Amino acid sequence: MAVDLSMPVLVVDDFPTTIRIISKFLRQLGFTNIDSASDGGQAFQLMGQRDYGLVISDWNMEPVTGLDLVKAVRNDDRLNDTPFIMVTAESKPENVILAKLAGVNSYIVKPFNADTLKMKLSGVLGRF
Amino acid sequence: MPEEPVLEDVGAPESERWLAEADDQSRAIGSLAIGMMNLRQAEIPNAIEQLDDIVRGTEAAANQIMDACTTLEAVMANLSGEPAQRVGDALTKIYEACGFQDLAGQRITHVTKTLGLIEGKLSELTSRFAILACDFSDEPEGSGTVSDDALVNVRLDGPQHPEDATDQASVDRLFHES
Repeated sequence: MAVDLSMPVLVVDDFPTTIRIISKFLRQLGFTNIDSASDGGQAFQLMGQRDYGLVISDWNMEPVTGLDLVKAVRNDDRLNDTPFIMVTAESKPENVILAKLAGVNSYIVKPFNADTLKMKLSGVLGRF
Repeated sequence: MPEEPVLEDVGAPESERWLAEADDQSRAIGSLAIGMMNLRQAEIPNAIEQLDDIVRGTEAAANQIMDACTTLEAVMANLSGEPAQRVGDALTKIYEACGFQDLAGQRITHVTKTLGLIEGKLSELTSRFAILACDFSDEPEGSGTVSDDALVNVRLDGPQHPEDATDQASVDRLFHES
């Protein structure tokens, strides 16, 4: 099934420049409906108000981290099957495993390029 | 086991030496306390401020770069074929490179937190040793003329904090009026 490029996507990062970059790459791929949040708490609130088809989140944020966010999402009956991609500078193997156990669908290490983002999106959402 | 000598049993020169040494040590600690207070009250907050300036400055620079890319994308709409592809690829590379601001910012945040911890420890130390802090501010006030020492020992502060910065017009005025 083709990816619905009009689905709402939530980009979560405490660095506005990174939100801008990811949003730019998503628009290049054809996504048209992109929201953003600056920490996990704000993101979870937004997810309570809107059905997002994908969340792309940083890990190191305060007060609520990306790991806290994915745990909250996976524990929520309404949100628990939301595709979730972690995009983070954290690259230690134990952290990658921790994120996977917490329920992320894919993991991108910063710095990343547009091709990597597209590849990971395809892996999670299907070809587009 | 031999008994420990009491002060009265020690010769006067020996006890005087101990007292002098204790006095030296307390002066040294007091001097250190002054240095630590200066670090805590001025140097470390200044360093943290400079690091915050870096994060803000790099964010502004990254946004400027991406704004320029947006302009180029509009121009690119007038291209087609291979030139359009090449320009598009180059713009993508620029966007990817702008990710530097995030990583630099995270590293700087880490350093800032470490400085905050050091500041906290210095605060504990200085509160313990404050009673020994000596007043070494005996240097005479400047006479208003620039001595050779001032020219040699000038303090350089590096880039200015944006909110307090002297602009070019003010510098030009100072330069021409002096």
